[in-house]
Amino acid sequence: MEVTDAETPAADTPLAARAVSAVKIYGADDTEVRALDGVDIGFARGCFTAIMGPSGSGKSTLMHCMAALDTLTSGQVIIGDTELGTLGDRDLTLLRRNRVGFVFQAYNLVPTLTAMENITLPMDLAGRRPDKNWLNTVISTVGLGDRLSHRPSELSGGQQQRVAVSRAMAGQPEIIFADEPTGNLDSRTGTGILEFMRRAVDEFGQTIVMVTHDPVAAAHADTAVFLVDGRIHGELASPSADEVLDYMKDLGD
Amino acid sequence: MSLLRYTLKSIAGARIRFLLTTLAVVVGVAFTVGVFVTTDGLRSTFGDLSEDIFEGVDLSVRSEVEFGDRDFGAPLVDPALVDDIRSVDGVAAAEGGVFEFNVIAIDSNGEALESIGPPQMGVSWPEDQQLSQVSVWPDGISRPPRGGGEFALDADTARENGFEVGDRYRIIAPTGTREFTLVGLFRFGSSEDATVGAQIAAWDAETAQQVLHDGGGYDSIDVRLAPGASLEAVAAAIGAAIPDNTEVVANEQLVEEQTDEFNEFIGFFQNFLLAFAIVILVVSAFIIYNTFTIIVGQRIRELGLLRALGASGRQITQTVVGEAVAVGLVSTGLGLGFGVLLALGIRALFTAIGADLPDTPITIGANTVISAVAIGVGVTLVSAIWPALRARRIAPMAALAGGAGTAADIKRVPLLGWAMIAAGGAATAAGIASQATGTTVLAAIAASVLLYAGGSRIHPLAGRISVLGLGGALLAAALLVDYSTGDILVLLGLGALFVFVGMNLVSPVFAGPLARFLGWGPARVFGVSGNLSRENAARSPRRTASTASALMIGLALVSMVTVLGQSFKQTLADTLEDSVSADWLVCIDDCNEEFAAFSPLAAEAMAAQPELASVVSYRFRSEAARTAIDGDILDLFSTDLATLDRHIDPDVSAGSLTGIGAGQILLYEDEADDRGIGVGDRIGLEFIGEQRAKFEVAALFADNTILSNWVIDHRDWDRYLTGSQDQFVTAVTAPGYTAEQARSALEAVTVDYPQLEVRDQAEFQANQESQIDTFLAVVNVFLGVSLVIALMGIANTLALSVFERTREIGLLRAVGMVRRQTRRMIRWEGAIVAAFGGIMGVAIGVLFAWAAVIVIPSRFISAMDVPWATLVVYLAIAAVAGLIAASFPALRASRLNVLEAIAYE
Repeated sequence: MEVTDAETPAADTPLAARAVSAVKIYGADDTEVRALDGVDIGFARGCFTAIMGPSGSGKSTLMHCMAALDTLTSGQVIIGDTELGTLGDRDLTLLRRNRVGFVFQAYNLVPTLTAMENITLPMDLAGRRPDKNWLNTVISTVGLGDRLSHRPSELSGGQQQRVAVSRAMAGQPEIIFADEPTGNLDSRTGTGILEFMRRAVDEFGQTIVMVTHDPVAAAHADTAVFLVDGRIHGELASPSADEVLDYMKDLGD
Repeated sequence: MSLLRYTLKSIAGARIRFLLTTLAVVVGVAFTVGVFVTTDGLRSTFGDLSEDIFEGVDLSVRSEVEFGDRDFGAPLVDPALVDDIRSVDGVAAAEGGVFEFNVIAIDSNGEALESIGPPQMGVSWPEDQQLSQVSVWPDGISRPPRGGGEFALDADTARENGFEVGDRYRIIAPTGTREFTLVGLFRFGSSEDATVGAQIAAWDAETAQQVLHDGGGYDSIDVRLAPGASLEAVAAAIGAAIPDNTEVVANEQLVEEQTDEFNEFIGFFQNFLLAFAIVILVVSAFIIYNTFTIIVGQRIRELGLLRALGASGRQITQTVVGEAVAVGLVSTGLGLGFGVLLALGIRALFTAIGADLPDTPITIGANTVISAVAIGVGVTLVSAIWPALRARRIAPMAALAGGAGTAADIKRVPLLGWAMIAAGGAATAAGIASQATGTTVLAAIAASVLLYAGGSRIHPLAGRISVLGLGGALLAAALLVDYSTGDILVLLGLGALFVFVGMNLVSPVFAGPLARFLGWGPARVFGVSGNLSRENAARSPRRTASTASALMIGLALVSMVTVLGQSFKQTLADTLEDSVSADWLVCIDDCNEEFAAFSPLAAEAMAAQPELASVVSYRFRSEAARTAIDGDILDLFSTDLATLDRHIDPDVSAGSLTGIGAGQILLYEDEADDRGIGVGDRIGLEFIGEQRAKFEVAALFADNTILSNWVIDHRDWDRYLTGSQDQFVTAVTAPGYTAEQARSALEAVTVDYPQLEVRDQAEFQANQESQIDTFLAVVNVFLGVSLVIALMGIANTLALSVFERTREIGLLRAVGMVRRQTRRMIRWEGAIVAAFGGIMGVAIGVLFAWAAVIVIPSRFISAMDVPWATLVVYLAIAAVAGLIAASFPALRASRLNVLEAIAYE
């Protein structure tokens, strides 16, 4: 995996998603904050990328904009070969529903639905029948077993996050965005989730982009990309936790 | 004080919620204020009118009446007394006065003038101008009427109906319809519009006596004192000069009696409207309670933090109460303003329907303001007190634990529980037994607290069911125990209130399952968004139940009224089919005015038509007689007993109608049973003018739908009672004539009595049904206000729920729920909640109606008839209304910023 030049033609690209000259400005005039200051980045298919950086570096903003949750001030975000800037709320929503998966820090399951209903939620919203075989594969990989008919309030944090990851994967999206997926979990449970995501990439060719500030989490990724002050600072291929930690320390200096 | 500032800030932070909560109270307060301002205005107007009517009269001589209404049937005063009175020292003038109701002028188009309620009457115009209630309209051509061919009309009526001085008009009077020349217009009392919708014709005293009383006596002899004469001395001297069955009364008493009479009517009107105000306020109370409960729930973390920072439980309660007081005060202020606007609206409405009120300035009495504040602040405080007390028990840990649970369940102490329930039962009994409104209300409240607290110490559900039971006990007492009307109304109101509160407490138990059942449709049709509507409606049963309760109240009342209306119609249809054999029914307008009556000459003229085989007329007078034995006051009904059975079958159960006539009585069997009277017994009756007579019971009858309990013959009525106008007439077509010929014959007579309507059975039934429908529509419009408030409550709750579920909605949007699906999800939740409230409301409404049918005398409603189709339509309307009410929160939900929503704590 590599951070690829954004100039690559859109058709038949090996990139699942990319950003071109992405700029995001909050506020105006005196209070203006450039959260993204000209980011060019692409995420190759079948790769697990970690986006890292200190607080305020723009990593969450980048992910939100890439995931069609937020819009850029200027520049482009392209999922597959779809440019997001031209899409309205409805098309963005449909894109999120059909082509993107999400995992949030706080699980974000719907409390009134069972684990299984939560997993199939995006497809249910689309009125699509889930692919039975794939669903079974995901579920057996996740290993929730008999907890599937339970509501989120009856599940542990780790179980809830596994439901959330299953939900992200169930619709076979082009790309999954995970925002600090292990932030709320103890290290053992967190590792379980990360291993699960790793398998999704290795065994099923899933593309995953994960925002994290945890070097241990980043070590599960193929690549770690570092953001500082809204710009790409550098990257590490097949990083270990120590390498990431060192890189972070250097940033701090 | 910092805590106050905190309260104010929390209000400022949630303006829309504050506004919606306030609105519910504003409507209730405004309605109450509107009613008070209007009725205060009416009281002062009619108080002035009473003084005007008797302004020049110092003393009045009239017949003595020990019971009944002296305006209907009091004996007339012997005209010979006038000379005796004039000869008393100190009397400057004395003159006989005459008046009679149901005197109707016919306009130049041949139409009888109609009245929407105020009386149509005839009076005498005294010679002595100072004794006169009326004075010449200053138009230069008007003058008092003189002699048998002239009359005068009040200026208001004349102007509104195009009567011209100098033209000839026909006037319908008890002695028939005759033509007179209009020689003048007059005004009544001193103010220009003081007839307040009444239509008054006047003649000189002698003509009035002929036209109104067929030459009989006077209604009163009015006396003006000579300057300097002593009222007491002259009254005493007159008292000595007049016979025993007459009395002399002073101006003060006349004014007072007149004012009381007006006030009785205004009071009835006021209570009718206040009943709706109370319904609105109860509904508002539910909404406020619900809102505050949700708010406290949502702020548990925040309030817990305050506790952790050192705020005492009491201070927490104070912030919640503080917010309630603020809501109450703002609502009261706005309610007062809107109430005055409403009063102006009501006045405009009066003017529009022809009952001009004098332009007295709108006055807001101290009572009005006090009631408004008591209601506005009181209702809000009472509704918020429970959530406020609950807030007090929030533990500081709640700030950290993320708001799980407010307080531990009430400890089970069965022994104490039973003791409290016993005490609550005793309080209930005491409340029912005490026939004093205040005590009853306090006892019922104490009982509800004891029962709830006691029951909850035995089983959580027991407390709630006990409150429902309290409501049922109060209702049962109201229906079954023989109390005065006022006590019954208090018990009914309290009973209904506690049934509603009890339902609110119990319904969370089945709110979940029922909401899931109701949500089956939307879930089926709309897939996941429908399923989420269903699950959201079911997720917090208590909230769904409370929200639905407000709608339940309005719909329960609407359903009850509808069922009663339908049952009433059915009873009418059965009666017409089973009991009425006459082909024709003739009465004034819609046959609904208790006092509307017409000259017996109309029935006489009809009887003379060959197309009609038989004509019978009917009269009714309330409190017209009393029994000689125990002095029970009776309503009398009179007809031509000998021919009655050709027109009406009263279902004779003993004796026979054959050969029945004067001196005999037809008695309702239950009345006979109660008194231990049988056929052949003789009963002594004393009539309103103290005449006594004995009647033989000729037969007992079982169907009192048309006849009232005591039926005598017209000949006895004419002999013992004054005033012989008929209230309705039935006729049978003669053999060999078609229905059209018979109708023509009847209508040939009603040319002289254009206020009469000729109807066959089907027309009569249709007319009565349309009147019932009109009445139902009016009641439902008033109750509709409470339904609108309930819907606002649904909107409010859903808005709060949307706020609470911000993150969840953000997530749904993030994973691909489009805006339309989001709106649909919230809207259908509204529909499910509304349908839930609707089902509870309709169920309770039918139960209430069932109870009412048991108590309502069978002459009005003999059997319950439930219009299921209509009730289903009500449910559908409720659901659709819920759908619409939820539109605003749904729109908000769909417009949430996805990113901010997901990040929302």
